[in-house]
Amino acid sequence: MSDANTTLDATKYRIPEGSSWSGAWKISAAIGALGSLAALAGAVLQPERFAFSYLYGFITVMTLWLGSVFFVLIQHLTGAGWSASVRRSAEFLISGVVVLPLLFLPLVPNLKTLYPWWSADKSGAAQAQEHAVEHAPTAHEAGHEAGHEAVSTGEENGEEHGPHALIEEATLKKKGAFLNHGFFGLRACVYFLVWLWLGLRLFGYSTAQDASGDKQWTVKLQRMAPVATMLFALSLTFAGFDWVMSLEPGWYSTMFGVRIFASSAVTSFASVILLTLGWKRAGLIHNEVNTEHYHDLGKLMFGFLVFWAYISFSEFMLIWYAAIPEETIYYHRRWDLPSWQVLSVMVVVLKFIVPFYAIISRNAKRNHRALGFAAAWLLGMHLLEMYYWVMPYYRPYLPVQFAGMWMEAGCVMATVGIYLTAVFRTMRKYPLIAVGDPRLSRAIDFVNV
Amino acid sequence: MSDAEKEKQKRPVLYLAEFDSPDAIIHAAEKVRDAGYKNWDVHTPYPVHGMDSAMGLSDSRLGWIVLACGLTGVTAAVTMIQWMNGYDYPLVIGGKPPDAIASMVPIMFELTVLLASFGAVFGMFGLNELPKHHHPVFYSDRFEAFSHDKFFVSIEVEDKNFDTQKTRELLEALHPTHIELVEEEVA
Repeated sequence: MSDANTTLDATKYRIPEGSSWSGAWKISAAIGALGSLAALAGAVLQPERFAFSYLYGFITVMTLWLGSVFFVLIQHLTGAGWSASVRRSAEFLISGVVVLPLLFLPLVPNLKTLYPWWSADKSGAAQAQEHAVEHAPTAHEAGHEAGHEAVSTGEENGEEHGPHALIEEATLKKKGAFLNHGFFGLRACVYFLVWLWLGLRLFGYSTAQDASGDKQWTVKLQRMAPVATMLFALSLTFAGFDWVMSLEPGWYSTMFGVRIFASSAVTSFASVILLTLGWKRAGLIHNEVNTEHYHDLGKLMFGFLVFWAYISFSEFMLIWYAAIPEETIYYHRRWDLPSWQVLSVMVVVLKFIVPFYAIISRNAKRNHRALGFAAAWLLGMHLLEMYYWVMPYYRPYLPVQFAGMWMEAGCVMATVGIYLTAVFRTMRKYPLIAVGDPRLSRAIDFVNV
Repeated sequence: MSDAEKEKQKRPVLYLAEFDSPDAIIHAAEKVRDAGYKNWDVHTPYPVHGMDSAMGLSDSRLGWIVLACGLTGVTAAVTMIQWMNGYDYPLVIGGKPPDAIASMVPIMFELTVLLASFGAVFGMFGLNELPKHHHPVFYSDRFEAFSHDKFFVSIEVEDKNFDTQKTRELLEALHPTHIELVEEEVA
């Protein structure tokens, strides 16, 4: 059999000097710098909005990174052979883990603005007062500004002693054991330690194999995969609770962690498709990633998109049926005002229905152009969905704030740009295909039956 | 002609050519395809990659059957629930509008999946002409090796291009390890 030895050549599949990909990091760095300027301006001009915008940018990168980890982990967990020639693209995205803790830092001074429970924590009793004074009028204003029946819930919410506020206060007391400053900080440290460990190992082991082709690296990766998967699932779920779900600390949903996971998984398949297509177009790789691989990546992307829709709808339907105020508040925030209704419907139609029909066909999945377009579309829709997750909490019951959207755009450009700069710079130093993987020749000859 | 002889009278039904390797069978399939045969088949112990294109098979039509059945399912669900809950016998349950879309979705989903799966299973049966209890290839004594280590091409008499002499020549040119004209008794 043609084993690793015939294909093993660590100098192959490198990005040559002068290739458009060797300078790609400059473009992403420029985008990151531009975005950072906008974000800085935002932080000075509208610090409250900046906090939410930046969180939006941060979780966009976080989900992209988590998705790539899932992609690579699942290949090692199942001992997949077909993906050996594709896997490196996701591994590059994983290598960007080093910037994640740095990207988190700007959030630290903004935790008080972002999370209502932050002030409710006893250790910050003084801040609690401040918070109440600060927030109650703004919500009132919002209600009057919109001057609309639909915002009645908002006005209730704005009243310090409204029914929702009372429920939330009671819930927060219960959740205080989990949502407090010390434990929150400790957990954040644990997530980043776990993620650094996962990221550096998954990338380091795989690239260590490039030169030697030693099968022991494959064995090591497969051995760490089960434990790593559990750590991945737990850290993803709890990070989702901490950083996204606790924006609405009175809310309960057991499905939120799965929703973060499903969204991340879809973005990972989309980004792997786009990266490999980009390399192919630049002539850096050829038949190593071919129509058969795209067909499978397309099937996975389609399948996880349907999974995302399935669990998101299940979550919504159960909350709608039970109609318990502390649960329905999540959807009220995204439905009571017409502009948020439009945004919610856009997430359903543009993220699910349109791509569902676009890539349901076998021919579409085997057509590189169509699949690449669908992948780019889904990444765009990911941005929309993350906006839908985070931004309703910037002064709740305000219409969607189109004016000043430059701040959100800037924060996404800053975080994604900085992250991709790290990824693209790493990309120049390693082969674009896991040349040392013993299953590489099997992956290249892989055929869908 | 005596009655006994009449009973044993046979007519050819297909040519069966035996090959030793997947490469040989792919090559053979390409040649038979290029010769313009339509009623023919390949029998292998395992799926041989690239056989679809070597045999010149077009994409399966099964997907369209499944799509049609799925759309029938979703339409049936919407009409049924709208008729029953929304018009014929509206009941308010849990304070929800009787014809609310959210409570319809699970049924829409289930009926879509149910009819689509029926379409997939029975459509597959139909396209493969199953169940088929017998096929003349089994008259050959050597044929059972197709489930061990041999690869076969069969060309049936029904094919427009079939000619006892010319078809044999075509198959012989492919260097099969064995070639056989399978016959069945005429009743």
